[in-house]
Amino acid sequence: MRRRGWLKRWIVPFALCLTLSACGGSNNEGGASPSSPEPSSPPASPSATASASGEASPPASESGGAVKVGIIHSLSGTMAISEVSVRDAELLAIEELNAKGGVLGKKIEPVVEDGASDWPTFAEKARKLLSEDKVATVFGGWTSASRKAMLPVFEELNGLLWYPVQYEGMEMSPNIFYTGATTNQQIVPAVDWLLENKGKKVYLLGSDYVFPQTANKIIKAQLKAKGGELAGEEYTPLGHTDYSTIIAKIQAAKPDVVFNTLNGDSNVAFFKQLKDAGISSKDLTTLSVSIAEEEARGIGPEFLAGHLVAWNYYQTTDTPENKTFVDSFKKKYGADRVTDDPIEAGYVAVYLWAAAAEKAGSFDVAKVKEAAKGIEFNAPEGKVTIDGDNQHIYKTVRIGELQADGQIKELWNSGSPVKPDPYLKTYDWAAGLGG
Amino acid sequence: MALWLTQLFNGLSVSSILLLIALGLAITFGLMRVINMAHGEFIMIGAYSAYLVQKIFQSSLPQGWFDAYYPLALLLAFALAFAIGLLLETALIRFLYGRPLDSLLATWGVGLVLQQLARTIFGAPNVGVTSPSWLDGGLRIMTGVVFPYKRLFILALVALVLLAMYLYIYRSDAGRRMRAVMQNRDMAACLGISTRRVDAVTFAIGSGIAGVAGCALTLIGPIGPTIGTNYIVDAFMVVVLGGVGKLIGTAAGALGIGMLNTLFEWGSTASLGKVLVFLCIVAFLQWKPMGLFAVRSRSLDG
Amino acid sequence: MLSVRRLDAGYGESVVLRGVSLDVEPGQVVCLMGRNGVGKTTLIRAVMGLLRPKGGSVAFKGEDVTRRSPGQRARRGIGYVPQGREIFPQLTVRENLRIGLEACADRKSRAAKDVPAAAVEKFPALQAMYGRRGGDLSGGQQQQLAFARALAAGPELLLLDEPTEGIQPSIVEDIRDVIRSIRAEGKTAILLVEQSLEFVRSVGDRFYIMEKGAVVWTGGKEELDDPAVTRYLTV
Repeated sequence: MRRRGWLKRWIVPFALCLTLSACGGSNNEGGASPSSPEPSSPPASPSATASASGEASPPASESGGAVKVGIIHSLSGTMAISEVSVRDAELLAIEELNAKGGVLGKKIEPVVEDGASDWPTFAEKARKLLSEDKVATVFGGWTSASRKAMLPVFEELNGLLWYPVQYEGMEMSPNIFYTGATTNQQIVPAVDWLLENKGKKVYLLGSDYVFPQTANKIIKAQLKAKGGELAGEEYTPLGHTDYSTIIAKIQAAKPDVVFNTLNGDSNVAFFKQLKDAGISSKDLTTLSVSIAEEEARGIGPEFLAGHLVAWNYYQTTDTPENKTFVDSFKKKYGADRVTDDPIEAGYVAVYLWAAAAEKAGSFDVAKVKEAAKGIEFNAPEGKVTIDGDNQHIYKTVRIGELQADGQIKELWNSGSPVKPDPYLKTYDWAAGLGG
Repeated sequence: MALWLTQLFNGLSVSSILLLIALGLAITFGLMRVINMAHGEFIMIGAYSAYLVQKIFQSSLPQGWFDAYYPLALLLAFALAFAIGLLLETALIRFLYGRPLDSLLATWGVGLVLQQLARTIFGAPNVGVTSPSWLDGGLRIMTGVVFPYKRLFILALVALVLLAMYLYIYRSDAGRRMRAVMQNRDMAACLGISTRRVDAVTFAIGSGIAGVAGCALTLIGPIGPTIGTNYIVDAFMVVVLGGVGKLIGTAAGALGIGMLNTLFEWGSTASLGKVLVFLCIVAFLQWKPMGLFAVRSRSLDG
Repeated sequence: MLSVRRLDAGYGESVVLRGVSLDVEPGQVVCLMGRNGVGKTTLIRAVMGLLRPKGGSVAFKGEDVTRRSPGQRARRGIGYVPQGREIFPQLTVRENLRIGLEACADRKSRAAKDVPAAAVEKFPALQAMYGRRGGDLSGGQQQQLAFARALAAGPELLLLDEPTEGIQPSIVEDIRDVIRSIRAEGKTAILLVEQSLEFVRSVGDRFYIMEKGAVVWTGGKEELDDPAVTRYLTV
């Protein structure tokens, strides 16, 4: 009698828990805000649709006056910190394009999926977007682990992924366009700048996964070639939050610079505890490649003031396109929101795809890829060009300093956009590194 | 010498943090045999309490008052976590006593719900909490050795919480009832003790302490919907190693793990350090399965 | 005072008590006897509320308490000294006794700081042991403690399950004296489970014998010489 009672009693709350968390988990809404336009009615130029429907096998992603695109980011879990905003930027770009008539006369209809900071989930949702929703293209990913999980799916189903985050390079999938920096557009020039301006002794601190490990391999080869000295190399698990011992180790090693590839919550803990230990940016130079304006808000600018970062875009970047972009972003999402490099790269990716599709006159993956070669765009970060050789984009390198208000002031930039070199073929010292 | 002092202090500090996050769990798991996988989320609730109080002070009170927000935040963290713990116990946990697997699954689900709730209310990204200025800086012992005030504060806080717990459990009527229920539940009931009330209050106190831990952790770590997951494994390790049923065991477990962790981390890497500590714990449990300080009592074995 | 009517009870699927009926009048000492395994302890546990009956009823002071929890029954005035004593091993003697106060009906008595006089006056030997942990006491001392603890709240019905089992003779005598003195005061009824015919003859008013989960014989002191009694009690 008692046994049946407890079963009834706990199964209802437990099922409720699971349902609620699942609801929070995957967002299948068409748009982030109610103001996003509904896919509608007659296309602006009938001739465009005629040519589209003249295709041998019209993709199911075009239905009536709309074309479906997929967006896949972590909307829950530990990476949600960073990825939710990239989704927001991609939706903003889609909304702007739709307001101007969409792409090839069709309204863009976003299908948003939650990768939940779980790499297999990214692959699974990617497969769903490509095979069930039959989207024309997908914008998404953040960590290299998520990209590497999705890569085989895109190659198998011949989909197209636009990946907006700086990463460790050594990759060139025929089904991915990379709008974030590769190593020679961020890490390599940053190390060069540090060696010239801050000192030769470099301490490498990173989270324990593929990006920091690969990045550090490159940096070590670069240090050897350029006369730098490795003061130490430490990895901490993702989610690690006590840096007292590591800070003590860094102090013992007395480096000129700490090259920081920590990610997520770890950065908050590290910088708070660094300041507590009495170490300011004047005492120790750090340069981070995973902290941007968004993360700075979660850490607290008072802990970051004076520390350095390397990106290709800052909210303070001085281009007319950026002024408009920042205004639109704040208007749609709130005045206290910030824009940063991956947010901008996500925004740019949508526009680049749209331009390529327009040039190709079709959403077919092969045609879009072909048309994408050499496409230029006046992005908020400056002029970007798609490099047909490797499906990356030319980006300007910018070294910045975090300010007390959470913004980043540019200290140095590369002048003109740098050609992407994911395999570092143009650097002799990188010859030995795996491809 | 400076290094030894620093690392000794670091070990103590890590131990104190471990103790703070594990103390609440020692009570709910140790005394009631409930596996509360949502314990990390109570820590999260405490952290967000600090954020809330800070926001209120920033927006409604003059600047000079700001530093006073922190003690209030500690109180609110306890109260909020206590209340939610009480709610959870009466709505769900009470049906799962003596059923570890069921309580594990159900509280895991609750943890996910709480995380998503936090995301919905506060947003997915981490939020920033400015610590009060009277905790900035540190005690300069000698050149190169600084004991940050924040870590010293946490040490003091842990000592205070331990003292409060000791007084409550061993010197108060309610604590005596709790111990009676823990040692022999049926007999305690036969003597007139409302075991339901004792269970609810015990669970709520454990949750409240987790809230205090969360508030304390805002001084040195991140505040976001998933911070609970960073601490839950450590909390369970401390409780299991320390032995279920005695607070001194939890303290010993926290000290052991904290010191070992710091030692191993210095000698190797952070990841390897964690693995080595884990291996040590497993090896120790082979030798003494009941942990460092175990209490043999019918309610725990049965 | 206590009225058990047609009680059916058991553990899980097994049935131990079959239609047991029993009465205890105020101030009376009722003795429950029978061989091992007939269901005496089960009946006591059912009266206390530790066991939910499958049928029948338990009434105390005119109120039906069949659905009430043990704590509620204790608060209404039932004291319990279980077989095996069940003192709290980690609590001191003083703390054990103060737990006994939890059954008091009013808050003021429950919060009393002193060791309850009602408990200790019958067991003065405990006074020397207030600071000792319950688990450190000998069997006989634990029995005295368990008894005193049950008396602390001044119960109107005391359930005693084999209080002399495994106890040294001198303490058995003490317990006999205590039961007699409680009976003389007339404020507390007692339901006593006992194997020894000689012991119950010296303290009891009314006697029940159980066999195979049912009451098979009941009578007063005069009827104890009935040969049936000896037959039921010998193995």
